[in-house]
Amino acid sequence: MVGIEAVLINAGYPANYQIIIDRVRNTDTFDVQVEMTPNMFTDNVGEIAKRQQALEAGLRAMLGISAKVVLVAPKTIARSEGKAVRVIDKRKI
Amino acid sequence: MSLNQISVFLENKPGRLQALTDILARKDINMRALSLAEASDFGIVRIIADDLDAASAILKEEGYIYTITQVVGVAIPDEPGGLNNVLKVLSDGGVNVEYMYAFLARKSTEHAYMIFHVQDVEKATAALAEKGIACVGQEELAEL
Repeated sequence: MVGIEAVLINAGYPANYQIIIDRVRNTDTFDVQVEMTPNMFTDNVGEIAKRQQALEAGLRAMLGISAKVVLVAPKTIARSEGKAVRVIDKRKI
Repeated sequence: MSLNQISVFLENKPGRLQALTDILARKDINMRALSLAEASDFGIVRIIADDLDAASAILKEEGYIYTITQVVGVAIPDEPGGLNNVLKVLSDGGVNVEYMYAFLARKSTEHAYMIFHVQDVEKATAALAEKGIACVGQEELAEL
């Protein structure tokens, strides 16, 4: 978890995030939902997509895994007792 | 002379755009123009609203991520070649058009109005002014 936070902070986006693990066709998938922040946003779809890809590259470099970054609206990630739920594992094993 | 455009981040999911238009409708904010640009899991909705301050306030209150961007509004004769002439002036002036969309004028039937997002607003308005093409200002927008 600390690794993902470090990647986000290094990129300049100390954002709220959540990991969703699932299994698709016998392969585990690892999505990191990141709440959009004002400084991550710009009026240019291509530029936001580049920032998203840069985060994915950062996660790959730091964690050694291929994670998909999914940008979500603010307050999307549920908080329980003030703390965000960090990992949701949807795999049915 | 430029116009204020509000660009809002939306997730690319059913209901997200309608949630935004619902908020604006409840606050009696009228949209004069809207354009939508999408990527696979998100989009940017670009709005020209009658009341920028009211729109910004409600977006902020509802937790939306948005920015205000300056764009150029131009009255274009509603005839073949109308847009082409304006684009030629801009390209001759070295101005890059990044995106554009139409807006509704209630009173004019001879002109179509287009919003241009350009790399350099000053350069664009100067190039247009040199050819006698006026840009729409914020006060004029309310009258159109």
